[in-house]
Amino acid sequence: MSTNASARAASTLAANSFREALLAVGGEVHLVHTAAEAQACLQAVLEEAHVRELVHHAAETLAPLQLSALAQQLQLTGPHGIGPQAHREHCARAGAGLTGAIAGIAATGTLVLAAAATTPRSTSLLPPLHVALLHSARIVPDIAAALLLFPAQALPSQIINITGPSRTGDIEHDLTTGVHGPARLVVILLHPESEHHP
Amino acid sequence: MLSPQGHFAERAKEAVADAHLRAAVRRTVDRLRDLRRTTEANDSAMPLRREKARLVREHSVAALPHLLEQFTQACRRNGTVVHRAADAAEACGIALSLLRTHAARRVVKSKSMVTEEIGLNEALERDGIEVTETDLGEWIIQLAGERPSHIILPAIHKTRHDVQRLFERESGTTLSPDTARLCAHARIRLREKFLQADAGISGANFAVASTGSIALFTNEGNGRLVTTLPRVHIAFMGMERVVADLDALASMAEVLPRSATGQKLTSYCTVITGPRGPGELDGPEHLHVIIVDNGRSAVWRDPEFRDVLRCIRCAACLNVCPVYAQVGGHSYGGTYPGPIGAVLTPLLRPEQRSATELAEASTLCAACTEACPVGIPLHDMLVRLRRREQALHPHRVQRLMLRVAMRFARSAKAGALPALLRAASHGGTAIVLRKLVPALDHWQRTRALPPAPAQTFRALWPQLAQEAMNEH
Repeated sequence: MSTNASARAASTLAANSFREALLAVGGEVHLVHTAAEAQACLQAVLEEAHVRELVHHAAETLAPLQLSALAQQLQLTGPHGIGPQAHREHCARAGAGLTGAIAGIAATGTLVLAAAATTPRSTSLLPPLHVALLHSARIVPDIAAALLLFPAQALPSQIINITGPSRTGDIEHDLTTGVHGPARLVVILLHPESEHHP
Repeated sequence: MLSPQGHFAERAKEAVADAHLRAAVRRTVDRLRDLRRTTEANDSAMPLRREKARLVREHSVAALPHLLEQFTQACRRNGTVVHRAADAAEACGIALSLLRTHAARRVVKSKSMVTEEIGLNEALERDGIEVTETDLGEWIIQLAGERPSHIILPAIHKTRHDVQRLFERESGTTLSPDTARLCAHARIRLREKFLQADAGISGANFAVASTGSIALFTNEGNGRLVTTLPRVHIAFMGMERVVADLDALASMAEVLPRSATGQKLTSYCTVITGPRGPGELDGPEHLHVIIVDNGRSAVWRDPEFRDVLRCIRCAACLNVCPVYAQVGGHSYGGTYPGPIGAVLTPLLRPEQRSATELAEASTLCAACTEACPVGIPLHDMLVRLRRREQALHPHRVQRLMLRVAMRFARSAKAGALPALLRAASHGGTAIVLRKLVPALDHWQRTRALPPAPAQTFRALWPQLAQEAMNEH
């Protein structure tokens, strides 16, 4: 097997493991193979949920989704040119938040995000629906490997590991989602067919 | 508060008489225990994960003073202000003065055992500060004016109808007893509190010495809201929460959720390093960490009990304890229930005689030790605590009765005992016997006498001994 082919096989295994683990905790996963498919998937998810306002990160990880194309259908709010108060208000009323994951964890189906100027915390927290784009090449085996992705001497102000929707069993063990964070977590998992890794 | 009021026996008596409470506790411990066992059984790496976690905690506790110093230095570099509090009063005092400095009158809290231990809410409320617990279970308990009955699921003793009534009283609206509706109501009410809050107070599941970070594990997401929306974040941690580095933290993440609820990871696990960074749109502008001693350094100096500081508050020991399953969390009287509470409470409060008796609330079956993911010998510690108590306050009557019992057991008269027991556990005879012996009647009100076997051990012994000989 060529190096590319074996890398491809490894990332397919990782993508499958990630998908299974996330499905087991009530997350939703859409496997797509091209940027165009990812975009169509995002559009379908937002339409189906009747989202009228979308708050989003400005991460390079979101580049495959030509967000500006969505601007005709819904209100888009990114982190640029906006103050903390306006950002909070937008996040509090938006129907969905869109993030680009820094990494995924295969063993647990976890999304790894980090707080920064272009990737605020509230985007993945306040709206009732969290949609994340994850590239299969960014999946690591476990949480130890995920934490190693960050330089220990200059950690982001918050590393946010998300494994499924917000959940509680506090009333009579009745499992309920969305008590504080998003009730739905949708991951668009981009797993390219060819060996073209970004 | 940490210190129990009154006596264990009195509190347990009340709990045992409450059929609803007993059913709720039983259901909870069985469910959590089964979730953990299923996860562990399907995970061939679990013994390794536990071993690594044990080593990490052993090292953390051994190197505690050094790690705390390292943690403090790292916090200084990332803009986190660290405070050390010797006791509950000092810890509450520091929080109060910080809230005053930041003109914070409204506080949202995420679940924290150590703030329960130091009685923080009461202290803040006395100063006119509005404190809202935001973990759903903790909020229910707060509205009811009660204390948590389980470390992981604090409101297990409340039915959905209880919750409906509490929420209706708080909001002045009419609600349905449907769980999803009740949760949706809590989301709306508490979201308002989050958006209005001046300060957020959290605990810390772990602190990372090398990076000056604190880690929070939650499922609801309230821990994230508390550390995202208010402009000030105050995190409380018991001084033993610290681990060396991110790799050690990863080891903890591998066992804490698995041992607590059988989850591979909680819905949210956040690693917080300093306040909001330059240009960031959310997150607190000020981050304070209050490291609480409150009796812990004395435990650390005690070689017989130092290992109890390894505890990661997963509550696995509660869920396998036959005593906890019968009496529930409130019987322990303090903040920490179950086997860990029976060990920790008397150690943190050695001056309290009523805490020492918690060591008696055990059958010494060692299920707790077996369940503990970080290898704390809980049942050994319970024996050591009893021994220590006996040395300090010898119980003369108890010793005398033991001597009499031993003499009886060795004598020929003991042969009559099995027949008596068999009769006692036999339907009709049992009732007559219970009426004849009032003490037995009283005893059986909350306990069923197990059926006596057909043959006694004494009778079986010659044959068993022969079989054992033949095997060699």
